[in-house]
Amino acid sequence: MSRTLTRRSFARRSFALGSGAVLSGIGLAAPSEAAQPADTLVVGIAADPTGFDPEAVLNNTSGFVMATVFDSLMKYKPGTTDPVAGLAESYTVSPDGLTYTFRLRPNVTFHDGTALNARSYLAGIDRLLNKKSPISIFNTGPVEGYIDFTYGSVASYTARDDMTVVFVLRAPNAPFLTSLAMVWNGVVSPAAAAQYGQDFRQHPVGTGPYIFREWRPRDAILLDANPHYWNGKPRIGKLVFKEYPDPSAGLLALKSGDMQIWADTSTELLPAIGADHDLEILTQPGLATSGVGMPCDTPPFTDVRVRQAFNYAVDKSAIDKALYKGLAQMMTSPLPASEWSFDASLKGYPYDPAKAKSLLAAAGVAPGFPIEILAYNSGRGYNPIGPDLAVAVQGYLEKVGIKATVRKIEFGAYLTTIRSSQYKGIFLVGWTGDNGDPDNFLNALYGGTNIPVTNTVRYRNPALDALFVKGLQSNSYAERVKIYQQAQRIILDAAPWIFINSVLQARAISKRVLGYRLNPTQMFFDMEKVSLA
Amino acid sequence: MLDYLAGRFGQLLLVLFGVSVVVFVTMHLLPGDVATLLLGDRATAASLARLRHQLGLDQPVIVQYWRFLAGALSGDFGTSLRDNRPAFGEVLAAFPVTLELTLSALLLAVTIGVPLGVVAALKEGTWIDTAITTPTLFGVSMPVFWLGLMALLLFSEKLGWLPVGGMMPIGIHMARPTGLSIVDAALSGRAALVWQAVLHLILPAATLATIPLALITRITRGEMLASMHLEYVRTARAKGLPEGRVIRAHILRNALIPVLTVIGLQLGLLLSGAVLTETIFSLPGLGRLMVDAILARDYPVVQAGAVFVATVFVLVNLGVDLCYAVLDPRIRRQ
Repeated sequence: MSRTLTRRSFARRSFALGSGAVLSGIGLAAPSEAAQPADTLVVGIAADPTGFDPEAVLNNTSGFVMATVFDSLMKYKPGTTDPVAGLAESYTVSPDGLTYTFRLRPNVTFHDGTALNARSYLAGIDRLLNKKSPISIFNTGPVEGYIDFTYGSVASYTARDDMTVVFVLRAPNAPFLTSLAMVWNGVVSPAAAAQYGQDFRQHPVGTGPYIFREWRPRDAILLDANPHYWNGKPRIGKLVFKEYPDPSAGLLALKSGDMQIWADTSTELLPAIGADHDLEILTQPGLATSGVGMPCDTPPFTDVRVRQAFNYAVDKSAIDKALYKGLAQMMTSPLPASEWSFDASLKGYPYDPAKAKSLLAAAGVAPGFPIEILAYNSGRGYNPIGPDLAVAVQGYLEKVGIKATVRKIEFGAYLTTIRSSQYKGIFLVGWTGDNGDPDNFLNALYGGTNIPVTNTVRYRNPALDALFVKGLQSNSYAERVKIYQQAQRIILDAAPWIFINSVLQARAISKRVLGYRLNPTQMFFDMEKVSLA
Repeated sequence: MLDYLAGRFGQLLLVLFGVSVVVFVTMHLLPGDVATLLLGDRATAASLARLRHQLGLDQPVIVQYWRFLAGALSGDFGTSLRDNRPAFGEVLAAFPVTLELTLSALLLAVTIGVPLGVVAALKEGTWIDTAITTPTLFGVSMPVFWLGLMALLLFSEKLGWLPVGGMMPIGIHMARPTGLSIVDAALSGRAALVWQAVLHLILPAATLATIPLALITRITRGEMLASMHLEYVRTARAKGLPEGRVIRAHILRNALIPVLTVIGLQLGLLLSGAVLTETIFSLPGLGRLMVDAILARDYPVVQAGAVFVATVFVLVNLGVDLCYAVLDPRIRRQ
């Protein structure tokens, strides 16, 4: 693979060679092996992973790597969260939505040579669901994964023949297919899980496009192309996830050609990246929402007019522009635009302080009404500016006569406080989708059964809950779209949040990178299609 | 001497016990816990309880401390709550990176700082003295992160002479039996890798050396000036000793005792405080390990790291004390 020699890399090589020539005089030489191999793609990450056992870890950086090492039974259509067949060549769902039958892809082997078949696949499922399994994941250390989330409704899992597996559910669970596509449900080699035992999370073995080679903690993760990959041999020979904890150093690495994709691109540095003609910024609506939650069971927020007034009072577009540098979209619906049932006809709550004031007056909220805004004290994935959002909202509420104060606390304490029915203030709130299914946003955040864990605003609406049940039971994509669009309208009108924004996913890449696409889940899927010019 | 060493060893045990108690208590006083940090927004009471149980965090603090102490006495500091690796193993793996960086920085600081201090003292009040002391003031005042970034901008971004960070070119596979990149590269028998290891070390070592270099230069100069006018120096000159010998054997040797103290303290500080340099230059050293562990409330790693750093600090200072005896016969006799 050819590689353009820039002035900078020429200078670097000249220095290395020149110095090498000097050193060769004292017995050292500078062979060409020291240069970065031309078929190596480097992805910059900001933090260290915590391991690579898909169901045991929840760390995003771990997910980046695991998306290249493992495949799931289902996968996401590139650039979307639509589930399509992955390691399953095909699948059927029974009319009652209880039986899922998957035909496995033939001639697929794990990186350790173990064949993928019904027996090896189900041994992996047994590892998760049967604590008596000799390779049970629960014998390997703390488990933070999505086992209950994905398989909680599974009644049985069996092999129909060598290449067919059948899951029977206790109750219909339409997001099951989408959940199976998550990186956290990557299919692991049962032989490797048995071989490495507790150390499997440091020695991941899957069927993915890249084979794990080495993890150097706080430095880099090295992977080699899988020449036998079922979806085509990867076009890049070596893939490296390299840690750059300092954003400025990350930018320099990107500009100097040491890094080609910056997974954790610092939004602060986007102007500098945009000014470099060799670099490109990719953006996509993220799978996230952020806002300010209002306790719907506590006066005056029991009155929908007050909640709507708070929504009209805040200029979300101005906040997006000023504080998020344009890398966020105003929420016009409770769902982010990246979700497949997003209703683009909804317009949200435009900035209208006059309307806010009249609604507050109609609801009997006197000017000077005091309220606390509770904020977590650092940035989060769905809200990178952290408590600054609360300060901005405080300013807007002041303009309509609400006397708000901001209190910042550590995330754990924040979570405990907002989940307590004792807390009467309003609070920052946000969510990052797990599997890309609308139920994972709407039901999780506003469903009555999820009070107070994820429905922290304690919003109850039996009609909405009935819709969610219908949505889980339906196997029809079109019907589910209708159900969740209806739910979006109900929630938007009820306004349990000040719907602020949905952050965009932004990644800087070198223009040498070809074939790379963002995915709403942020994971590095389909990396076998990526090449370097 | 044996009594002295036994006393210092007893002191070390007391320090380690104190460090373990202070670190344990402060880590448990910090708000938030690792289970919440790991599970985030979707943590339920049940999932939190399960994870806390798996991590042993549901035990009373005193039980947790007793377990830690009993384990530590047998060399087992537990496993990292973040990544399930042995905590002490993580510390030992990170230490060589910091050690290599620190020793390189100190080597630079001493080999440049001491001669500069001597020259500045000998040329007191001249332009040479000013030319040496002014930049050292600059060196003491410069924030390391700023200096490191400027060095990267100039030597990596603009000139392209030196790598942006890390210890080796990306993608190079090399066995790392010692963790010291130059030593491992030499052991691999691949000459180019030795050169690459040196190239990767230049900027971080130079950045980290700035403050100790400036301190050592200024202290050497000051101590030299103080010694130069003492009576024994006048006596040495009166005896007709050559000026070079007067400077080396009578002035510099005496001036070096406080310099040695500073070197010892700096070595201890750099070993535990190179975190900014490690962050800017993407080096997987002990400083970054500790900061990451503290932010993640990874108690076993923080405790193992703190005990290890305290041990190193005490041993380094013991080494410095022993060096005093080599330099000054009066101390040896005491």
